[in-house]
Amino acid sequence: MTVTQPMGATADLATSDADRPPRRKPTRAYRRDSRLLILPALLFQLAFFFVPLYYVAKQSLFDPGFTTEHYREVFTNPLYRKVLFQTLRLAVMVTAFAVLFGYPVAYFIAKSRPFIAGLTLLGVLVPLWTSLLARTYSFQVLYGREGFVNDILMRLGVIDEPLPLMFNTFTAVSGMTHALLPFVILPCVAVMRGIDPSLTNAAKSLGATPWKAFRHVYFPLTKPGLVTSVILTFILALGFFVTPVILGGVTEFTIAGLIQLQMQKTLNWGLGGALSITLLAFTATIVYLYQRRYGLDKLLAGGR
Amino acid sequence: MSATVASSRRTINFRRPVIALVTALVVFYLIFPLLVTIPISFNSVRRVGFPPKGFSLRWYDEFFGINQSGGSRWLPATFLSIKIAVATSVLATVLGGLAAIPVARAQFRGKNVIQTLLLLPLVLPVIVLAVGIFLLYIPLGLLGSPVGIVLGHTVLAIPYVTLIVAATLKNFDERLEWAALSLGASRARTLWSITIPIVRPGILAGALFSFLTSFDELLIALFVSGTRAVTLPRLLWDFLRTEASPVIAVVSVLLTLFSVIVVALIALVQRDRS
Repeated sequence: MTVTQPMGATADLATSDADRPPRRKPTRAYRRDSRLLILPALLFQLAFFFVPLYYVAKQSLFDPGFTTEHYREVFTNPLYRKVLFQTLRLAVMVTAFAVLFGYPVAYFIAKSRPFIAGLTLLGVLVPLWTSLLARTYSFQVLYGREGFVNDILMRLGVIDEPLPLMFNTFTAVSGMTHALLPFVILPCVAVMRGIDPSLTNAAKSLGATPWKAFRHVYFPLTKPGLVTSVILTFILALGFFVTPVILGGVTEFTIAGLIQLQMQKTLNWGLGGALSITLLAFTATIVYLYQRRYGLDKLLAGGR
Repeated sequence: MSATVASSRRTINFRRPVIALVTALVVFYLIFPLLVTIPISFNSVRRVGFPPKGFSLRWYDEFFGINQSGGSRWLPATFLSIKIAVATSVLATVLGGLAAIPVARAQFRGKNVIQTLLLLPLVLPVIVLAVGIFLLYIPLGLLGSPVGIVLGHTVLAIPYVTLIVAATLKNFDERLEWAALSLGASRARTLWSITIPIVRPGILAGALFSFLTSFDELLIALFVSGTRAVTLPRLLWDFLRTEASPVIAVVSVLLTLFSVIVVALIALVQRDRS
């Protein structure tokens, strides 16, 4: 707090210098040298992110001599192919649902009065910041054989026997959509809040119906947020572990669950490595395509 | 301004009820599952099912180790998780915060590539990192050590800190630093007395994010913890896989309460700022 006072004074001093050319000697020295500050973080990430990835690649290719056997296994064994396909299908479904329900919510938040918008945003942020394991457990309580949904349906006399709601596609999609909705809503709100409302008003005053104004003016302006959401949700869904394993069971077994199984139960590390690199390569390709067009910092900044 | 908003409201009026309804349903869907664990946590029998029978605090007693012969299994795991999260938060805030300065300001060759390398851990699947860290820790002898978990969690937390602090730095008037430098302050002194105090909100947000990331992280813990360094998510995972005890509901309720408090605090701080 003590710094605030002198700070304000220097701020005034600095603004009075505003017309001076900004490139002065101390600045340049400061800028050049500041490059070095990236080094500690970069070295840390090299040691504990890139070296581990190298170990995974090595594990997948050497056993102990060089072999592509593990990769052949991943792509030819019908069981593993089925898991790869299931993972993709699940990610597509979850992304579609999250966008379908998240976009209107973002629109509502962007267009509402600050109080209502803030309240709605709280409803999005509290689940996002709650432990994923706790949320997954909640779905178990909700959909279990003696769970809340079955109890209500039986009391209402809709069903006589509890429905098998757990361990299927429905539960996995439901739980994952719950977990990933915020990753659609938040980037879309950020983009929508930056859209000038006079643009759609102009379209309407020129005779466009509200739907046309939305379709041809508003919607295209929200595309950057939409693309970010889709990419983010999709890559997170591809590598999702907790929710599909706990809620999807064997029916919706995904690649992340299979990797953990190979590494910790079956102890086939070579296959686990090959599966890991396959998942990594797939995600990295999507990220690379996005990065070339929009830049990675945008993806991440929109993420939360 | 208010006129434009009002007119835009009027013209889209017919869609508003539909969108409001969809929003209400989605928010209900997001919040409601967090509430169903509350009645289960007060169940008096060892059963996870509706309707719960009676009312008792026995599962809360089990969590806190009250009247338990072997003490609590949950409290040591919770404290370990807090320790790991604090250590992760400190390490990631220092490393990620320093890196944010050149990311926000410096221009140099290869900056884009380096920046991407720095941020990549956030978008690549954590399971792959967890497998790699496991394989790396075998020769390093870091399996089963809390330090190993901290290092792994810091990888995930650095990008958050860098992004948040860099965003704060971009709104920062650099002339304040020139003033300090031209008045004879050293660069380290300028960083400590000028830059850090001004971007403090960003630094705090980054530290909080790091804490929460680590506190809820399962996969790295699952591969590194072994039997010696069991964190709260790891213990919760073991219970979820093997037991149907209402004590899990207690943990869920407490964790949800924790996130409500965190979000409320952030909302309050932000309101005070504006």
